[in-house]
Amino acid sequence: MAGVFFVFLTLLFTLLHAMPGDITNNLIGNPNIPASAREQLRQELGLDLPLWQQYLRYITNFFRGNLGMSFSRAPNSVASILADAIPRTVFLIASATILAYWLGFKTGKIVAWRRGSRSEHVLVTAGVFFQTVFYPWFAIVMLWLFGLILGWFPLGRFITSSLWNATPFTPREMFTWMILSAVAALAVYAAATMVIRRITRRPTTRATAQRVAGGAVVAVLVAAWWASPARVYAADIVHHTILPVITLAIVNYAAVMLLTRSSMLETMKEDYILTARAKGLDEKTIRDRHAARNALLPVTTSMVLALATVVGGAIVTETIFSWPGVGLLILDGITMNDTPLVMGGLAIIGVLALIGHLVADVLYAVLDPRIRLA
Amino acid sequence: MTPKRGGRPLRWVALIAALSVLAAACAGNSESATGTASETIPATEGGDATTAPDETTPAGTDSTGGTATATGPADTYRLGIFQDPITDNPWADSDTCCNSVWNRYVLNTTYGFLYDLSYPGLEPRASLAAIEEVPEPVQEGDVWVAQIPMKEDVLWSDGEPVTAHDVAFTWETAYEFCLSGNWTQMVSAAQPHPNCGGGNAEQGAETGSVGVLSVEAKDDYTVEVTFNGKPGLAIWGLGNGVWNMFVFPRHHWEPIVEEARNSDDPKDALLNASGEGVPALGPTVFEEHVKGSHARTVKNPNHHETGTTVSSGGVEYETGPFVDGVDFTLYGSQDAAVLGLAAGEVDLLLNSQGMAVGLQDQVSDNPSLAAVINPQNGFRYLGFNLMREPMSDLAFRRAMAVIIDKEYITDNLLQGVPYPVYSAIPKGNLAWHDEEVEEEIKADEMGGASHQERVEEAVRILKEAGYSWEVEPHYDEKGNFVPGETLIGPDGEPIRQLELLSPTPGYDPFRATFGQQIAASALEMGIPVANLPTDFNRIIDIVYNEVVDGELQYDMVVLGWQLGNPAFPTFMRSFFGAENLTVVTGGNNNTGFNNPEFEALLDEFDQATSLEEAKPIMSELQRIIGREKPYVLLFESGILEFYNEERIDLPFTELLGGIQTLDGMQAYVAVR
Repeated sequence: MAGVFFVFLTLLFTLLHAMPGDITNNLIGNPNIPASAREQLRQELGLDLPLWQQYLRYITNFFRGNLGMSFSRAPNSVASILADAIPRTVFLIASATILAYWLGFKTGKIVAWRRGSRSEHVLVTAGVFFQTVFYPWFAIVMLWLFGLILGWFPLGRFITSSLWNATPFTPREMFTWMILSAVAALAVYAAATMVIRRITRRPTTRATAQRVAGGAVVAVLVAAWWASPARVYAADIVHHTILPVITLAIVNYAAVMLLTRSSMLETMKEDYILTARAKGLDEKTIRDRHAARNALLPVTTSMVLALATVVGGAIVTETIFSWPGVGLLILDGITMNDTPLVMGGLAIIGVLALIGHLVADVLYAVLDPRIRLA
Repeated sequence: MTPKRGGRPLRWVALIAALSVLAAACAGNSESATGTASETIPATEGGDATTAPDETTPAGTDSTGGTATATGPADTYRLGIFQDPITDNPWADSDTCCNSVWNRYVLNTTYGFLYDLSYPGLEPRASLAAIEEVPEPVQEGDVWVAQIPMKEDVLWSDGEPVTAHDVAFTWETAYEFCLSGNWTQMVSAAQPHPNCGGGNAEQGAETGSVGVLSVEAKDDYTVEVTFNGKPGLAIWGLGNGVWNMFVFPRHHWEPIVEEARNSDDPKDALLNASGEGVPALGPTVFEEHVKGSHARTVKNPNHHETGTTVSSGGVEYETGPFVDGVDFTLYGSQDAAVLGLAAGEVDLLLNSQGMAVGLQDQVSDNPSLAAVINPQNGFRYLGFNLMREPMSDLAFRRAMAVIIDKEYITDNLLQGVPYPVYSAIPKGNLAWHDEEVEEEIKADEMGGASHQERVEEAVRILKEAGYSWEVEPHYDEKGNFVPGETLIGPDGEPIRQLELLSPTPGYDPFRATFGQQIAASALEMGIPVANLPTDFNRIIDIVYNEVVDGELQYDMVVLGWQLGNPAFPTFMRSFFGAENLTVVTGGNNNTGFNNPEFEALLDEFDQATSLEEAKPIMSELQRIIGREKPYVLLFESGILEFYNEERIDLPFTELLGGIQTLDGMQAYVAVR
């Protein structure tokens, strides 16, 4: 894994340095800045060194945890810039991805089960439309409709600037706390589920208890934020998040729904589905407990890998919704020839992608006893 | 058996949670409007803040000494920007490290100067200086000295008096710390500081033989500037120099500078210091910058120019600030920003490149929004590599200029959005544009002539210079055009295949179209020119960095320039001066133009001490460029800007470079 990452970093460095020009090209447009200033800046940034020396310096610093200083946002370090942007991107994209996969899986399995029905035709047509829609146009239309015409949501951005005047919290702190509290809530819910499974074996009781536990966790989470002095700011962030999340989720949802449907259709041909029917099980049980669980495998893999690439996968969304995340940073970095910033952003995506593959492998084994036992 | 509607409890909880979030959001907005918003406290004439009886004392009184913050939307000017400011540090703002127009929009109105420029006429006017005219330096032995008396009642935003020591401190700090970028011209040092020896070659190198030796406080309210020779307008009175250098508060920066001086990397330490809480002289005080979201400045209650009337370029207006604060909201795209403008989120969109023409329809459909187009302080050009044949031949360049029908391209192919230009000083620069020169060059390049006239003139020019064709381009007796084939040079050899680099349509459709049409016109004349649409960064790399055996590796290129300070156009030296040859010094003169007559005029221009002296020289410089044609000037597209005319009153909207040139007119705008 480390070897793959090393090769990835080397390729990244080579490709980025194959781009024409460097950051000092941006100074050429200003006739007031003399040529010597360009040369001085090249020296200060180490761009006058041979490429192999720049490479060695970068790799050494990278593995020491130093991602360098951003060329275009000097004197800010790449690490600090990314630290600001990552929570925003994770919050936006993780929300959209989880929502899309949850809804996509739920409806995908129903659509497959109702093959040939009118609802299948409608949903599949809608799914194909949203999967193939020109996303920048769709996002602008959503912004125009819900932001400008209906006025339900803000026109992009992630906070209301007038609200955050002289606040005791920074947006970065708020995002971090919101993500941590969501993760904590998930952990509590997972623990409660495990306890419930140990306490009772009756499926209906288990299901009811899990729903109650889930409801309680959500209620406690909301109540805790409601009681917090930061609730206004958290709510402001959530209010700004809704429209980009829905927009991104709709497009992702279509893909997941169609993937689940295909997977379900394959599973429904299996003999054990016929066996389940022969045993006299009701349709919902066959669908949810026998077919859907097996159809879940490719969907889960797809979701884990999608989550792994969240930080870079939202350039268009972040641009249109003025959401200053990692995707937008990488785009700006490429435009400005800010190599350290682009390297830093893409390196994080690389790390997450590697972790994502590992998690997908582990999850596959967890979800499929055939793999685990083999 | 699993209950059919077992998911309901969870759905209800989710619904309640969502409603709670929305309720909290609504609650948050109302609370912000009443509970957290602070109100303006009027200042006394002396600048001390006093609390009006019926006003609340703000919790967020800022660190600039009692200046109150104001956030009420009714008295806040809201500007849309498209990139985060890089720095809030005023020293870094103009240094090469962090120079960005996005910092400038936020910080520029916090600065003060001895003299400033009035817009739109670009006349110098006294700001901190007590005398209206920039004083003439007088000779004292080997040096020339200018003394500037300062107004004695001017206060920083924190109430401290502004003195000559602040001016001297600013100059000395910028000089000692080797600040570069725009500081180079403002400092105008005669010699590099010993600290910068070798490391900072630029200070002292760009000002020719005359520069500043020292800036001292003669007394609390007299600044003395010493030059090593008699300074011209280039550094004293119009071009950027000490006279219009930023002035920063010594009482705030001195301890920070001292700490930086003792650090391992003094320059880095100085440029990394925070800009929050820095006392201001301009109409606004920097308050905060929330990365990725917004920046905010508030009114400077002590601004010394408040209430003064400016008369410039035929326009008269009063100086504010008339708003309590300025919000800079960051947008990720122009589409989103225009929606924000339409929704009333912002009052004006700031972008030095202007807004996309395609967005104008959206704005014109909305009665509260206005679109204005102003001339750009710049031009787009066809550049020749004069170090290569046949571009080194003036006849060839003249023929190329004649066959480019700028009017046809701009009017017919580009729907009249851009307009043709012939001289280097834009028409919008009322002080320096010379219509006579423009017409002379236009006549020389057959501006407005028919295709037949152009062809005949180009053939005449080339024939006179010894060129010939296998098939000469001409119009036959029926009036049909017969294209030329294989242009043969004076040496009897066919002209080799030439390459024209032009930006891609995605980067700039105007320049891409011009590139295409120039190549097509050349081919008609039998000149083998291939237009190569090329990535912009790649073009820059080729025409500025790729030097092989002392020669740049291109034939012709379509590029453009922004021209810097319009009050004193120093770009002629930058683009065409021998000291800025790309192949020698890495400067901006990428054509290799080197003309002794032009060089002598450049020196005369820099040393000119009055406009009457300088203007004819500038006209002559333009004539030489028009005659020698290292560039064929092509077009300019104007700068398109949008604002909400129902909410804001701007004193004027016609000025070179657009409203963004004056940073959105923060000092003069009134909000309804």
